[in-house]
Amino acid sequence: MRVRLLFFARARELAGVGETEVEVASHATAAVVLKQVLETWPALEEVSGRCVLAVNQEYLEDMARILKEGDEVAVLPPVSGG
Amino acid sequence: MDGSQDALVASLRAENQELIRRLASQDSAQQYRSDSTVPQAGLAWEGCGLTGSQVARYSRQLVLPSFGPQAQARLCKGSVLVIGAGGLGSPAVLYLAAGGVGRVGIVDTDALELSNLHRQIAHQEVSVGKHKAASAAVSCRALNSSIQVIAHEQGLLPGNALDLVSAYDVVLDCSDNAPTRYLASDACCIAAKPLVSGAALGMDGQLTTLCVAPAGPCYRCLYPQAPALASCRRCAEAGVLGVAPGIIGTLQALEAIKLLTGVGQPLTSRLLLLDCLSTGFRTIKLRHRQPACIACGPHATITASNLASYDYRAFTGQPFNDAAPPSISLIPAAQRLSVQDLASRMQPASTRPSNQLQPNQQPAAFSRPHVAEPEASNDSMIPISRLPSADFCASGCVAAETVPIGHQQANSCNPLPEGDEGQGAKGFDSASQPSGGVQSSAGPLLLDVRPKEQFAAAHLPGFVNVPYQGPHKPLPAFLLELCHPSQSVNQAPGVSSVLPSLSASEPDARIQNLELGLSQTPKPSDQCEAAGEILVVCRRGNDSQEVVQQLRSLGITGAMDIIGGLTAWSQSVDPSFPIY
Repeated sequence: MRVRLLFFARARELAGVGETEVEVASHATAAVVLKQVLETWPALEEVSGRCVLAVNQEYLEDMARILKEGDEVAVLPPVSGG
Repeated sequence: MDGSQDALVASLRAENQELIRRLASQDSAQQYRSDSTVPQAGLAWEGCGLTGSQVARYSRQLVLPSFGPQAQARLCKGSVLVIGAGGLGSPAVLYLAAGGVGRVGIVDTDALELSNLHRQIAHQEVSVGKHKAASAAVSCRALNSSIQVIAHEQGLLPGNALDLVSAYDVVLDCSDNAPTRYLASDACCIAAKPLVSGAALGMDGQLTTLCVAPAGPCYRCLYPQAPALASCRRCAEAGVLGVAPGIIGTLQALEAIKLLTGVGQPLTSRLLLLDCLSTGFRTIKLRHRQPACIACGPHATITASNLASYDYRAFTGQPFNDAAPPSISLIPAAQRLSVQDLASRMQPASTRPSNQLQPNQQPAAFSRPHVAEPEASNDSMIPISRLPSADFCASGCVAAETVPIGHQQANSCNPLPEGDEGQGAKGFDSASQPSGGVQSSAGPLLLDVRPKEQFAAAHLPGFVNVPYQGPHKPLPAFLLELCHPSQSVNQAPGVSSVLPSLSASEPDARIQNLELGLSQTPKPSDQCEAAGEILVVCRRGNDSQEVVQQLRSLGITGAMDIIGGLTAWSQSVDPSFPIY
């Protein structure tokens, strides 16, 4: 199945892309998808564990959550500039 | 008129403007502050507690059905602490003052810089060099003399944060650094004050309202781990479109007004994202307050009694400001040259009396490219053969910027024409018609490792732009080619267009080495030696050291760092080169 990835701010810089789609295993959990994301874009390790993750515009509370086709996963590191 | 007279006139003009402004401010204050009378019940008129002048001043929002005089009265009695008088804080304090918030506190320790003014609109040119908190306070008072505006110039620190936030109803985080963000949040948790957290960088903005009882999360609930240092990009490095913090700061003022008046729904447990490129807004639903949070959870370990001793620098690894990173000393002094050394190398040998330039002597005027921006390239591995093409420079400045080796250096060494305008252009033009004197030997290879945007804004003639991508990104292939020329280099189209013009007048050993690569692969050691002297410059002299270290680790022993970079160049050699 395919899920949509949205990278914001520093994550977009590190991944070099703002929006993309990835093919993941059916019934993959959020943890599995994010592991795959880190393998694809290793530079994102810098923000791993230090950003808000959201699925379909809602905070991702449970990394064991099973994603479904077309889900939108957003990686939202904090911005500190002002 | 000499320079000192110019400076005197400029100083007097600024002082005059400031005095005129103060006078106007006093006049208007006398005019608009005089009416402090509250209507007496049963006498002339009755209202909701607003003075006559307040009714007149705020009439457009108190006739608003969804706002009304009661909300205005709450606003006039309310207070807001704004942490940071920069890009976010500027519009925030102006709108809060204009809208009639009774007491506005402005916290900032920084002095205003010219490069702040494109976004920090609460300040004026005359305030450059002055405290931002005081400058923003002056603007607020000029806008509305009937409210109380307090400048807190000592800044937000662990020792004063609790007292400061406790003295206000609502707090806005308009700061520019991670330690302040955590401190503001922790203090608001303890003091039970709502915190409107805004942030903006580049083309992005974020906004959320934190610490709202009973379930609203705090900053630590969202980001229990501090961001890595590399993630905390500064406006000075990453850039920021002025409007981006302007929009977010304006929305912070809106949030404060809603929180003070009870009108509307605050952005609690929601994160608003702004994308200026698409003018798009997204809202992410956030989680609630976390029971395990060390700042706002039921078992919080950050408390009123220990907040002052919490080490925010250690927690975030960053200082309480977004000042430029300190100078590093990564490589031995023998691998570094002063900007005066660079200047002497950029002068013709025949006119090189000493390393010290005369005050009015400009060995190489910086270049102001007047050409279109080159296409961005995602390819960090750029072969040398492509450098002379349009990858790094548009056509108007190809000669000076992109001929990587030797000959364009001869141009920088040419005696410069009189007058400083046009020197850069002259340097460009002369690249195709090299003159004698300094061509007998190839000069150093001059590398400018700043991002291409900064290079395009201003650079020294003769320098090639090779943006440094950080320690984890490979050096551009063409630098590696200096040691290990490959066949592919010579097959690329750029070389053929450049080599003839260069080798027609003077062959360069390093280019010959590239030609050698067509038929054979020379020993790396030969190539490293042939690479000759490579002078590396950046903005402040930190990245350039890392590049020199990498080059030397590859055996390129001629790599030298320019101490202090172009900032030092501007300070010590050519003040006309812009510091930014």
